[in-house]
Amino acid sequence: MVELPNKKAYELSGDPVCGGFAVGGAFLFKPINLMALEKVKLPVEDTIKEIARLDETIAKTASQMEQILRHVEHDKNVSDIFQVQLKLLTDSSILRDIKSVVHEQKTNIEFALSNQIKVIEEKFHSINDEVMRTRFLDIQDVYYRILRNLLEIEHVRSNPLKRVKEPVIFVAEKLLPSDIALLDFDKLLGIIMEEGSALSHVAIITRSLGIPTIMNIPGVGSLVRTGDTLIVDAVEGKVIVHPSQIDKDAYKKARVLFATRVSGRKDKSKTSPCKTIDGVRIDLEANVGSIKEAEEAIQAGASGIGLVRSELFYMSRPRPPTIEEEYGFYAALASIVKKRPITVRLLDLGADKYLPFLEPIKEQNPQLGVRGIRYLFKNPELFHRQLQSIVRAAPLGTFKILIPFVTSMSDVERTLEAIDGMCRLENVERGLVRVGIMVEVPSTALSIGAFMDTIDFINIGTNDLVQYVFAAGREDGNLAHYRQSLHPIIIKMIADVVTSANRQAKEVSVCGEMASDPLFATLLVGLGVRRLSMQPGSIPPVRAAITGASCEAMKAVSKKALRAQDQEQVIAMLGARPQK
Amino acid sequence: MHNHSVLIVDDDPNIVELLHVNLLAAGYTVATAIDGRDAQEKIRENPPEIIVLDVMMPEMDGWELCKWVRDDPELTPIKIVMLTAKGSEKDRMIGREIFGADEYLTKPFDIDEMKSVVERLLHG
Repeated sequence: MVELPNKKAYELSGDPVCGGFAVGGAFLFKPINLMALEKVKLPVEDTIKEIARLDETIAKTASQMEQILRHVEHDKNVSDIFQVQLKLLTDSSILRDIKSVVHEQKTNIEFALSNQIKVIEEKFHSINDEVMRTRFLDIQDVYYRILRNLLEIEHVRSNPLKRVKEPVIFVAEKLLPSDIALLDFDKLLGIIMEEGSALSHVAIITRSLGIPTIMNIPGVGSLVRTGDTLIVDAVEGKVIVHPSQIDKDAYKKARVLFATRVSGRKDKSKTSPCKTIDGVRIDLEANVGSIKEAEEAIQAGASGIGLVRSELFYMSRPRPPTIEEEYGFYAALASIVKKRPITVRLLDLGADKYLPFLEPIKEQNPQLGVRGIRYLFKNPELFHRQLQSIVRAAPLGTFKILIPFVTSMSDVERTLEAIDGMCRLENVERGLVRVGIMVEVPSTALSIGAFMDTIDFINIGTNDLVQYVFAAGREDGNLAHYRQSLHPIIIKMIADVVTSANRQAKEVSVCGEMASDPLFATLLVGLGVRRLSMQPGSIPPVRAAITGASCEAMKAVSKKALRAQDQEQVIAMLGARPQK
Repeated sequence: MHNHSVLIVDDDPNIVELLHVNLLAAGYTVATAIDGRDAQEKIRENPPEIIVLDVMMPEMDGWELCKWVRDDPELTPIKIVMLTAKGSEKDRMIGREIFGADEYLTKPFDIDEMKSVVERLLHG
């Protein structure tokens, strides 16, 4: 087939889930579509024999999954996913339902099984929650594998890259964990997908492998064709299709620069304090949602847990935790991080985050509705139980409570009263718990001075702040160009909050995506931020960037950025990405 | 007059020979391949109008080749006749519903039936 000489370059954007750059040819992966099996009902006379066929296939499937486990055994994060899948394979309730359909309807296993997957999908879809979605995708992954084995076509699916000679950028509408587990990783330059989220198991796998990955790119599965040249910028979340030679050269340089930064991961001095060349100490803390992530954070050299996303602990459970269970979670965190600080953000629910066991609130505009602390005030039992769990754990470590989505002083006062009461109830010294606020709404950022006397610390959430300043929803890929996180107005807002906090000797930290990018982190340090919180994996490259520069130099760049006219000028100053 | 093109893909030389002779005599331009990989190269070089495709082949089987053809938007017009010794309902279901084959013939097949299937697919 003849390639057109000058195809027009265009850009697509999505959510980066594993940072890095890749330049190469596309490989469009299309899964085997098994949906049609729901409609093909074949009569079966000997149902006992048909069920025996299922049992034999499950045994065969189990041995394939054990092979996957051997392939990924070196990586606990990844092998845990397939251990869970292996257990799902013998889930007695799902199998019982399938077998009873075969018996009662005298039909083939494929029909019964594919319809059972559909029933489960409908059940899971009624719960609008990412963790539940991930659970369903694991079930689908396992049972699709059984279906392909029943039809003896699993070989058509396994390792689609086996006939590919050069490394490629893998393009797909959606992927299940086992779609990539057996791929030839040496042939994988990057992954870009139409669906998916940072919480998905596919994202966990690609991060573990360090493959530059972007998800949630609208239309990518139908726009890109096998053989198209692509640039994947999984730092910015951008894909350039049919790039020019200038683009390609610029990105190859960016890739080298990124690799140099990431090589900071091998830094043996990761346990020593992170200091700039001229000796200014910067605390690099981690955002975590589980015990496992806290362990990773300490291994990566975190000086504390800057953000416990407590809602993730709740979301991972089928029912609300008891006070003892939640206390156990915080106690376990304290034992992992020892005396390092742990900042627990109170449940940040509402907007796009709900618990599987609580009815979502129906709102016209959830991002501007009952979220964060507002949600907790509406659910006082949830609010008080969480406070009680944290306060009870407070003597075990250095605990800080962070109030999410603060928009008024009365929100803070009401929360402080509740904390005071809880300390009395639990007989815990009030001074053991420090209390701070999330600054993620423009009104709070602009009136920060009014909060200073009441609170102990401030945490700036840049993702939401950018969303609300530019009135562009953070989940909407089509509005990405409006969300200018490096616009001088955002930098000025952060600078004002930081200056105000520093003047009153209040701790201030930044925990949004900006803090995770090495270059943006240096900008924040230049603005006076001395505490950054990020994904554990981002700590080594951010540390490398900060320890490699002087605070004075970072200040000079930040000063210039404050006077910039627009985001492009700021980017040019930082040299963060190649110019078109 | 333009002759319609057919690619026969089968690892059994007797079947290939039988189809080759008969389709040639019926006025088609015929190419042959001994397995899926061989067929891939021939399809890339010169896409045929119809592929007569055996399922059970070494290296790359008929299902895999059928999916490869159906996944490529530039090869969409190609019609596919699956040919297999199995002939169970299950295989028909796989061929038609999952991999998008157009027709399905069971070995041993009647050569006149094969010719009429090819004729029907070309001329509706």
